[in-house]
Amino acid sequence: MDPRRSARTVSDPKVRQVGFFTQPPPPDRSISDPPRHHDPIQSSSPSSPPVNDHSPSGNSLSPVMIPPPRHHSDTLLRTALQATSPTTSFPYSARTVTVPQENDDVSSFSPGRRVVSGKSPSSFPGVKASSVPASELTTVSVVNLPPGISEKSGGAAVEVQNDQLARSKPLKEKTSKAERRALQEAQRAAKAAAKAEGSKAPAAASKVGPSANTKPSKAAKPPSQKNDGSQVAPSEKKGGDRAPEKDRKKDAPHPRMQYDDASRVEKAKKRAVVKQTEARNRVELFRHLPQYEHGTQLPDLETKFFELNPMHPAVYKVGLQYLSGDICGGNARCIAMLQAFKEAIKDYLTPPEKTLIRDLTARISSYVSFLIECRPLSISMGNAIKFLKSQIAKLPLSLSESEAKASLMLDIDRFINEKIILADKVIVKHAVTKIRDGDVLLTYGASSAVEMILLHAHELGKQFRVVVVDSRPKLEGQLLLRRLVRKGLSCTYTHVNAVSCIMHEVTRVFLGASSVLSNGTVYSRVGTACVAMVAHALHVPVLVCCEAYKFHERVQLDSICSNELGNPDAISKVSGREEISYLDGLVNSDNLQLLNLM
Amino acid sequence: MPDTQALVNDFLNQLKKRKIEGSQATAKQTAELLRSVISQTRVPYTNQAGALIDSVKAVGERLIAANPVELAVGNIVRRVLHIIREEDVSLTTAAMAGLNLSAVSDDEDDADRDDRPVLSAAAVAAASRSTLRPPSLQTLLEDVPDSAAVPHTSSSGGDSEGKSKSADKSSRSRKLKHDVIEAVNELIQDINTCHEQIAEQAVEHIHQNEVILTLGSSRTVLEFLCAAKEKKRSFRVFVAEGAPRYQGHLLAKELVARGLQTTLITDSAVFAMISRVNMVIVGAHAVMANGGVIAPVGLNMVALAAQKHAVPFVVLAGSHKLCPLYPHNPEVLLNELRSPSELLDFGEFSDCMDFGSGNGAPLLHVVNPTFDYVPPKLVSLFITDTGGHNPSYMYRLIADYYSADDLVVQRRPTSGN
Repeated sequence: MDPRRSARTVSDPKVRQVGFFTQPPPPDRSISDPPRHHDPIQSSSPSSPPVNDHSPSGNSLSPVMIPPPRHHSDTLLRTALQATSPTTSFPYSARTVTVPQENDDVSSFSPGRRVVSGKSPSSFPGVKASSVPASELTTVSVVNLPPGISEKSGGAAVEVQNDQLARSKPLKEKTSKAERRALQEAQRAAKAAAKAEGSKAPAAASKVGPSANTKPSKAAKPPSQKNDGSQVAPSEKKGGDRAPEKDRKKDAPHPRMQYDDASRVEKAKKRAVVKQTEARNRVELFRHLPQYEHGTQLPDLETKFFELNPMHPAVYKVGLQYLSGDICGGNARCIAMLQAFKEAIKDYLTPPEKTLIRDLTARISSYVSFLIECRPLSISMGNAIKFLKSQIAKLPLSLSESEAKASLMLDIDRFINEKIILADKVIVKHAVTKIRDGDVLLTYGASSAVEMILLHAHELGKQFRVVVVDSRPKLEGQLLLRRLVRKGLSCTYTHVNAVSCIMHEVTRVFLGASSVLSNGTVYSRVGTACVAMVAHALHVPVLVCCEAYKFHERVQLDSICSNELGNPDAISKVSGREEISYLDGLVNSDNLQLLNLM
Repeated sequence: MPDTQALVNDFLNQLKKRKIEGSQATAKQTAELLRSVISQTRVPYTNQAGALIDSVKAVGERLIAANPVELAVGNIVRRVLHIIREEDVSLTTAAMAGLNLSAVSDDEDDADRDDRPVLSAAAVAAASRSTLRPPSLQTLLEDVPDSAAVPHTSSSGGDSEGKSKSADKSSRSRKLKHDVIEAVNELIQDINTCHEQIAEQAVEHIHQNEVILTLGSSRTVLEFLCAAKEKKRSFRVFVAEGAPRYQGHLLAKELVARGLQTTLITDSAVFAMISRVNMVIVGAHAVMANGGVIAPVGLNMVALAAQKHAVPFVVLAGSHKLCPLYPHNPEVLLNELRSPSELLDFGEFSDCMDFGSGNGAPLLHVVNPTFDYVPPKLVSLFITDTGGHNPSYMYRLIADYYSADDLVVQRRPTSGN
């Protein structure tokens, strides 16, 4: 199953392949191919079964990753341990081209080789063989932990380790590189030895390895304990699913920062660039989410502009745009952020005595934390950041700085082009086949994918009507409405309360999504669930359009456990209707709380 | 009469211009108006009930036509008609008992009336028979029960009874009107106090540490929650703002003023929050005969969400909101569309609302309905001033309050004309 172990895959009795497998395609077909349309349905419906070519082990990439160019020979990834077991619940869109990671390179794993292939542990401490799967979709958690999460909770996904390591750089410098490498080799040797028996113990050791690296002294104990505990359960559950799983067990995603944990919040605050004052009258149910006073950040940021030396002006600008709400929507935010990072990388100069990879990663992380303070990251942005960091980590040491920068910028461009722009084209192409003449289509809020679908269908000459449903406080539907009417579509506009009245006329509902989660739930603007529920009650088909790079592997049951809280004043004031001012003066009352869920 | 006419016209104007807000106010004004109509009606000596019914129907027809969506008007008109019929029945029963008549068999066939022995109370008996007649196909087909039968009888009666009859009837007529007006006063009283009676039941339903969700604003709900608060139950309220009128803001303000923990949320967040809610309590605009509810817009969505999360959906409604009609296509027929300016700013979108493009139809329509229909299967409980009821029980209450003859408030053309 691990293609890199193709030599002995078939005959290995311990390896039991579950699901549909195809032989990994020859690598030369992989890279610049337009997406193979195994099942274009994937792109528009999140609930279809995994694609056929989704060979579970190494071939499938995370939707975030672009298949690397063929010539990349610096693979410190190809360790046998690196079982990439992508989460199976991921329906891959046609976007994921299954490219084996340098298949032909022998997957045999030799420490010596590892050292040679450069940039690995020596330059990037903590990036061990087991921990830099640039292309593997490991069980990655949300990357954007605010700085200050320096403790490692056990079972942390591998990628997260990268970020954490980058951020907790000051701690790591305690151990020298040589020490760390030695540790690593020892771990790996132990792993290799134990692996032959296929026991679980080495897996634990391997897990401990990474953690030991980051906190050689402290955290080794707790993570290992936790690892053992958490590892036993999933391994047992999965049984003989995939042998490599035993070694790189499927960790639960790292839990996100919970804001009701006072100590963590304190740490986060210390590292914060933007000082935020917490909102009064916090809704108890949402204590685990950050609630800040809005409107106080902008002046603060302005005064700090010249102090923010490490901040690149492009990033700063993007942050301000997020803060003010000028840029809104998963794709737009992601693209804006990536463009800003491109600028930042272009202007980046490696400081003396530092390596590009480590320093650049640290710098990107600081940018990310700034952006988080402006506005919590969307899932699309999170995935893009993960991708960028992994690309940085994969840079071979032999590249010069300008080459490295050029390569990174090229990677960003490819990401935007393939994952967003081309993906949207595919989605549109498929979705317009679902629209027939005489349809009445309903959409909620403003989704870029749905807008493209509607405009394209109109261009193709289909006759249909659109119902735009809008809700407070953002009233995004008005923008979409204006754009549609300008192009000549006949539209009906209403608000979300009236959706059960209007649903009787509707034939199809198109919804956009911010993300699709691992348990199949769609994570989107607040109110989308209402629309979907009413549509379901009236037997109207609902189609969700979401690019694959926005998929995420965490799970969520309701809208409370993870959300974003907006400005409460937006609720008490109704824009455009000044007569509705019942709540003036009451905002600071103890009994009244305003809840603005996004 | 003239001042009554002026009153009626005034009220009609207000209804047409939608100046009166709220079904309780509408009901009260309707009742008072009908009371004055009744007191002004000159009733003939015979069949005064019929005359009263006629005059009430005349006014009622116009009132209902002025604002068909405001069902409380029709409800009150029908209530008053029912009152008239009931009072008439009770009076004739009393009269019959008082005259010690033997039990006259209530023939369904009216043709035998002539054979009856002529007594001084013959006319009374005949009249009572017509009013006490059980409803049957015969009566429905005959279509003019009262007005034709009684003159027939009176003409067959002898002259000897003339004086006593007229004396009887004049006293009876005054008594009928008097009784009817008393009953209408009671009705007005009921309408006024419906909030208190509903609020008394609050303490049975709201307990400690509960979370209640409501949408928009309703005075009944406000009183309900405050009554529970008075009984020292501590609970929290989520109020959804209820676009586009944003009455939820008002309700939140009131609740905060009375010391309740309130959280104001947008309507789109209802589904998100409902999993943490213990009960949904809402007011209604009208309750239909099948148990369905005509409610402010957005409540169907809330009811669906509540059913999905198994949260009880409680509707508070005074008895003047109970309508004896069945809803057919209520989203269209029992709904009103309000001004689009509440949703969109005309200034911004004036270019889109042009009629000049394409085939001349405007590209942009704005739909702003006022009401939502909630089917009875989504409602867990109705709390009225007579207690708590299941939606499937509501049709029984109709029999208490309304007569079957009055479902269509239209004057039948009398055959004699």
